[in-house]
Amino acid sequence: MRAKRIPNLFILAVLVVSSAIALFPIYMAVINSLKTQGEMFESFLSLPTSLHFENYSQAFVKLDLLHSALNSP
Amino acid sequence: MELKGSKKYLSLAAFVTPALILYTLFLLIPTIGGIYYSFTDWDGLNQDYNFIGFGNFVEALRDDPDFLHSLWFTMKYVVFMIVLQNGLALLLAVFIETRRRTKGLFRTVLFMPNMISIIISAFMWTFVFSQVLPQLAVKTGLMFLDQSYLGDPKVSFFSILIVSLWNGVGYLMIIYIAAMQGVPQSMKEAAMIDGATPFQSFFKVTLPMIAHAITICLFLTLNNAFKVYEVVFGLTGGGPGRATQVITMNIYEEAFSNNFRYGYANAKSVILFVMILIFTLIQIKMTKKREVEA
Repeated sequence: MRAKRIPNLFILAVLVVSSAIALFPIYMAVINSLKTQGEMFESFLSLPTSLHFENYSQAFVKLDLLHSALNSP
Repeated sequence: MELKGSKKYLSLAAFVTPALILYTLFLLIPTIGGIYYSFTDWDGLNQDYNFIGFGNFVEALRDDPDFLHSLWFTMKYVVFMIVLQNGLALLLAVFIETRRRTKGLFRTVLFMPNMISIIISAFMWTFVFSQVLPQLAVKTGLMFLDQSYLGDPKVSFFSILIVSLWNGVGYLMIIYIAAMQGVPQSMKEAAMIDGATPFQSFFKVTLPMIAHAITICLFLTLNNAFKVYEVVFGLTGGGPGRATQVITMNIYEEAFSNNFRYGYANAKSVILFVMILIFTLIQIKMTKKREVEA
């Protein structure tokens, strides 16, 4: 009576693939936010060689993020 | 203590009045005003305007190819969204419910895109579509990945769809999971003892029992898909030309960015409103009938 079941492995594969799709753009945004401009255009997929956290501080200052954050609750 | 007669109604009114006043002031009056202006040729600034009856509506539905195109594009989007978003959400919900230890992990990961604002996710995907995927195509040799995702209207329709689904599936999935956890275990067991296969037990027991969730999810999808704006704005901006323009964008352009034909834009909004109203009423009526009690 155990016929007609969806194979366990298939279910797992679907879940893993959809999780990968769900995470891929977020992963891309995070790793590329830590690269320099030149390093980014060389390869989008590779991991950053050194972590450039100054991108964040620059974004904070140049885009005046604090002001926008106060504007958008 | 039981209140009697007019005192009972007075206390009821006291509770209702504050909400009613706010509702009238901020929703009812502007709505009625908007419907009124849809019958005029007001340009948004001028003091005087003329009452022109149904002229705006006739023009929108007969002599405005851009509006009709955006209407058709939105309808196509709505159909795809209703089928795919609910189908995928239901599938993922069923699959997640079969897991034991990794249930929480998959639920969290698949819900994550929903926590990112739509406009941000549109920009993230713009980066993926215009930079990452072409480079991936060159590096791996999978040339079918190298499409003009945002330049060719035929392809960008699906790009818009992908981003909307990526953002929206998680939310419906949570609703479906919650509904499935509300299905009594005893009913599933009874079906199993009676010799039902997993498929039969899903279609004959689970699906009818979560019909109320399907009603809500269809309603949400239908409603939001008609009002789509941010995804298209972030990805293509309606372009190239007006090829991927949706109704809301057409209305915005008419009212605020190009022509300043406020009355005409109001007429288009009323058309959109009536369409959503009719479709959701039909949908609610149809799906409500299928709901069952345990």
